[in-house]
Amino acid sequence: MALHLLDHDEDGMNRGIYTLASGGVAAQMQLDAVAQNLSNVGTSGYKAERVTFNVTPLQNFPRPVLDPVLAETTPLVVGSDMQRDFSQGSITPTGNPLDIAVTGDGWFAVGTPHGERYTRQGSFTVDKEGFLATPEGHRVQGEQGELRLGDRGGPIEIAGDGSIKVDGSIAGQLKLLTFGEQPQLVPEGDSLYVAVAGRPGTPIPRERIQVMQGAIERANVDVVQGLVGLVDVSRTFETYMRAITRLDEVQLRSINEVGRTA
Amino acid sequence: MIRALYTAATGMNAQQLSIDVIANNLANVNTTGFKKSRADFQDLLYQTLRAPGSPTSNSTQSPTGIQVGLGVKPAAVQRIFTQGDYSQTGAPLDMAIEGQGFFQVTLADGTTAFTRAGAFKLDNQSRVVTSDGTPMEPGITIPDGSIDITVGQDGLVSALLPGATTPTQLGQIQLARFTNPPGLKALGKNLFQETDTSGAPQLGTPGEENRGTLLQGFLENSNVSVVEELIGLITAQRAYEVTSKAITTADEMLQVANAIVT
Repeated sequence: MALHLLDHDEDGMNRGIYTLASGGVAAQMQLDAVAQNLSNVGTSGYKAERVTFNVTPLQNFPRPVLDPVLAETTPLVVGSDMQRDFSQGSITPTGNPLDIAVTGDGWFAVGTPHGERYTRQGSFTVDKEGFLATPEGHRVQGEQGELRLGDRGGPIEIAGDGSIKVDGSIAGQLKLLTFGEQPQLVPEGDSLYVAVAGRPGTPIPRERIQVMQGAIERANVDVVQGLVGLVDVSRTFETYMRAITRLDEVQLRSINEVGRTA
Repeated sequence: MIRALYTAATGMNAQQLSIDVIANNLANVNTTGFKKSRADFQDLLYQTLRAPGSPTSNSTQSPTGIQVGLGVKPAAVQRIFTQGDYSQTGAPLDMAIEGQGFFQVTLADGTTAFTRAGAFKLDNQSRVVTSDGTPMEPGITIPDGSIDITVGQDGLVSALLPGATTPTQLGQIQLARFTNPPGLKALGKNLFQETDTSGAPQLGTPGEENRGTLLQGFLENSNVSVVEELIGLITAQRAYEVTSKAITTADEMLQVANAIVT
């Protein structure tokens, strides 16, 4: 919003409006994140998001600006990063044998046509060929590749260390990866994340895997915080917009009163 | 801003679906052989406003970038095939399956359907039929005037024919088993149909290969837990409310922005 106003010449007075407008745009982005979190309050394995902002002089902005004076003196509020809160969500038992909740820092690995993706949403199913899969049919990866639970239909038992037994005999071992304390994972939708280039996960050794069968991890969205966020965003936005109106009034006065000649 | 409006709308839609599913579960709390469903959600697409690793100034770069989520979508309405409780009826043709199998019936159009509702009766041709009059497959006929109908755990049906002193074997009930029962398509009337995802039915004698044994004189209740569903109802309703607040906030912000130009 702020940027495309810049291509005509301005005096110093209106610079403030660009800064304020950029603040308004930032508030909108914040609202987008809060709305996204609240919409996904019922999505298992969802991780809450938050935009971080910083103030950058326009000259540092990686985009050509026509007026060098303006560029040097106008600070803009810009979104710099989308941070995700990767903290543990609460665990709710479901009784469904193919619901698996991760209780440690691990991520399930899932094979998709675009490569390996990662998820904390462990509500799996078995596809028609008997492989453990997500609702979209992407197969869950085990230590030895895809996990075939077979068609014996026997009881499926998944131990805390991710080893899977079907009908009493071992059918495989879940593969879980860790991306460290603050994972750098990029969401793609469908509850899947992709690792950023150069930051692959490391497989978790079996003795450190912590999963729970028959349970799901709820979204870690804090609803109260979300509601507070809504009030905050709305008032902040209002402040910016009011300030724009004031600046406009000031300018109008300078033109009409200070500049009056007779 | 408009983004947040639509994001929040997807959240409200999702909770609406949740409530629909819960309402169906509650409505069927007393339906013999009913299996509850659960709506599973996933986050929708992400709009990338800044790619991971792109510069935020001349010297810094954004580690994970900015992806703004566009809401939530239903991933699956998954049927949960856990065992229901049993209630004793004493009726000779009431059968409960203790295990994962399904009874097979032949619909009027000749196709085969599967059911867990074991409340069978005799029709005017003395065939064993469901409450709807759909005959069991393979068909079993119990001659008029037979007494002491017994159904063994292994599905062997026998009765004392009029005037006889030793029981006569009248047929063998077969049960079908599926690799992925949640993949079955619900037809209503307690009936399910095989699909690509459920896999083909594997027919066999009750008690073999986890098909489950038969329990004569009992019916399987629905596996709906009223308390669990009511909690789900409250949660969904509150989530709906909270998401609607995001829409109100977006609306207020638009109003404030509009006020600048008056």
